[in-house]
Amino acid sequence: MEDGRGERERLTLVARKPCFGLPTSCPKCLPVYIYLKFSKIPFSLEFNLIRPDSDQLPFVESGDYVAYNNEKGGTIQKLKEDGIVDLDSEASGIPEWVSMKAMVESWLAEAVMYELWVGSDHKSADKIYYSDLPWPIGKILYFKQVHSVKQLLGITSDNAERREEEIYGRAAQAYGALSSWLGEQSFFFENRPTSLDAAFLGHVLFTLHALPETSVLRSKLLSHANLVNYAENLKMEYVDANSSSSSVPQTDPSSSASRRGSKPKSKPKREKTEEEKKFRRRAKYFLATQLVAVLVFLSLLGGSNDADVELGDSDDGLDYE
Amino acid sequence: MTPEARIQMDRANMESLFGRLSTERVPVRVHDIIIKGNTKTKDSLIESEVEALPAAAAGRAVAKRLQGLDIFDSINITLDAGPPELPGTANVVIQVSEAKMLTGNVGVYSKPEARSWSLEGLAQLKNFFGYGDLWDASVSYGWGQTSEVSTGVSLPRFKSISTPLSARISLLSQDWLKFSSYKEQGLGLSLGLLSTGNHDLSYNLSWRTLTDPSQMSSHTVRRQLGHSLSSALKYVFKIDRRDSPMRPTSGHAFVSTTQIGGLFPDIRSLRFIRQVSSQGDWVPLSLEDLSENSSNENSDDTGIDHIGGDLALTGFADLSFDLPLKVFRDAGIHGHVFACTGSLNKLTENAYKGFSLQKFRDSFRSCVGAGIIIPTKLFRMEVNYCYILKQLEHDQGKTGKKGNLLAGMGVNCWQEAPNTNSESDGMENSKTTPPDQIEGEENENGSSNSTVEETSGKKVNSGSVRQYVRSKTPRLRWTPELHLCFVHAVERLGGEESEPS
Repeated sequence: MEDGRGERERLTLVARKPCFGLPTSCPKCLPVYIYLKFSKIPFSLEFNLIRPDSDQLPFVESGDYVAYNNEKGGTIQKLKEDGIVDLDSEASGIPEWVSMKAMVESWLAEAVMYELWVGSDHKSADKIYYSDLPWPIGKILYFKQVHSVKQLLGITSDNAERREEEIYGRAAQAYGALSSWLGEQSFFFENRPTSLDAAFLGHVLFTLHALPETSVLRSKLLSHANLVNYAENLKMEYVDANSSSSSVPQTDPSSSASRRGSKPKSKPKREKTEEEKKFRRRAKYFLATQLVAVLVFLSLLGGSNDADVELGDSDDGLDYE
Repeated sequence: MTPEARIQMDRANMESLFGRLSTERVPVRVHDIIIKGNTKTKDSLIESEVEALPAAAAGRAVAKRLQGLDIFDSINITLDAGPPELPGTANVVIQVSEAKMLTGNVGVYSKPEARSWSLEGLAQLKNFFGYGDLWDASVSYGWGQTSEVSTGVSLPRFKSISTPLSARISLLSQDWLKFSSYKEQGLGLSLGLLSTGNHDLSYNLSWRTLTDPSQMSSHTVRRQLGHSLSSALKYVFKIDRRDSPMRPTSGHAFVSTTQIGGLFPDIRSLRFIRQVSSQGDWVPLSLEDLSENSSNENSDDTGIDHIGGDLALTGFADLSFDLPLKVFRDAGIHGHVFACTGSLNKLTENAYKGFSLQKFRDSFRSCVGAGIIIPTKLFRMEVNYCYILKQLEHDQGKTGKKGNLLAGMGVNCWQEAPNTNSESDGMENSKTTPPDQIEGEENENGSSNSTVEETSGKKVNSGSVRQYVRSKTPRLRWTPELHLCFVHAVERLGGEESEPS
């Protein structure tokens, strides 16, 4: 039990399963993994195979602290704001850096979402998200996800082609801009890794390795050699080199009462004064007593009526008419 | 012999025969089974139900079996003399009156174990296809806890399978945010494969989703969230030899439930084995009893999530006694003192290695209490005071008073059946047979009167909440025509030679 608690104090990233030679193959989880790798903080990697549709993944936990992906702009943003790990302290003031980051997180993220769920066949998505779920559940969740992605991207049967051109056009523009801004440097900002590097590297690795060869997005990316080199170099240095502390997928079906220390936040509770509590308790007792008295009265009175009915009805035997 | 004396003798003979027919077994060679009164129900269903009984079954057993189908309001079993070329045989005439097809029920029920109330509505469609099929749809809404929508069908027999089959689809949503920071949603399909008196076998396929919208769950709960498919076979074996389910004073009961999960269709579904056994013994004036109180209260501030364990053992002892005043005894109000204990242990994940007898003994929590039970016509009320003897750290038990209401209040509504025989009183059936038919039959082969009448179903007064259940003792209303028929039958069956016992 002590070992368990010690392990839980350590920083842990819970992400989706590894695939295609990547430590985690989901395009949302990969940037967080790379960010933690950049920060050189030791952390352990755990996998969750049964929540393909949850926006809480990936999350980082340490003891009782949890940084979910659907809070405060994403896991990385939450880690920065809570002071756990912040690589952007200087870069975040530079306007070009901010706009590059915005481009990666909007245009390129949309392009990957489109390509994974709508543009290509279902094989990549199945392998990443649904290979460990029983078949009926996997199929239904896949169709649900495709539908919600189409809604999110505003794709209908009328504007499907137009939207596709838009999405690919923007992605190509983004690649061009990033490629010219990067040049031959190894990082986007002053030779130091920032969250922009994490986000973009995650995107490039996913596009190159997880998307099929026929993918339009992939071919657009391959036309920028310096981006591909940038990705391969950083992958070798940070991702492959110490492919260390990834633990075996934990899917324990049993459970036990967990012990927990003090929580950093508590459930929002109404402040109740002592008097209010006493008053409420007394009111409850009063109402309960009244209700019980009424019911008992009704039932006992009902009981006496019933007795009359019973007597008049029991004429067994033969009535000879 | 004077006419009066003859009538007296006839009457005496008839009374004795009637007495014998209703209490003793008079062996009858059955030539044919004639079914009357079924507009929707298929003849094959009734015939197969009757044929399923052993050959020496009494009329009462036949009627009870048909009553068990739950689709008839009343059932009359009549003996008619067989064809004249085969003397000594009889025809069994089964006259049924079909129940109303659509019934509905809405009620508010309390669940003391879960400390919650629920609003439940049920609609039942009986015998839609004529095979004794029962369709039902139900909705249950529990405030802040469990809500369920389900629909099901049950068939008493299907082709050659003689046990009832049932199927049910349900959508369930449970809210455990307050206690364990998760919500559960489930879509399930349940098939009842085999159901006899003591045995019950069913297959359940369900898709469970656990989510945590509050994002406050503990480490262990976070690892459990997600989708899972549970495909399990469940076998229940039960013996119930209590003398009364509400306040048993003697007997015993045993229930064993075994569930095996993960067989098919997909090996990635949840794999588990679960065994629950419970045994209870009731002895009059003694200390062993099973009562349904729960005596732990959960307060509102939760710091810890509780999920479960692998080995659970509980024990209850309850002594119930009548109160000294006569007025209480007459009303059925009695008191009880109880003690209970329980433990929950984790055995999987190598936890069994650290498991010892001392640890097992230490893991037991216990409490004692006393209270009064007031059963009334509408509900059953208990007020108990509990005192916790031992609880473990992080348990949230509270010593104190606790009241329980086991109540059900509801409203029934139904749709009038197409056939206008709305009287559910078997007694009147003899009147509805037109007199000329009786006389006609009497001329040909004579008919004897109803000897056993079973009235099934309930007569509901549409203004009151209580249901009036008619007692099932056989009754008879004598008319002169019936007297003549009976005398004739007695003569045919050789009643003149018998002596009143």
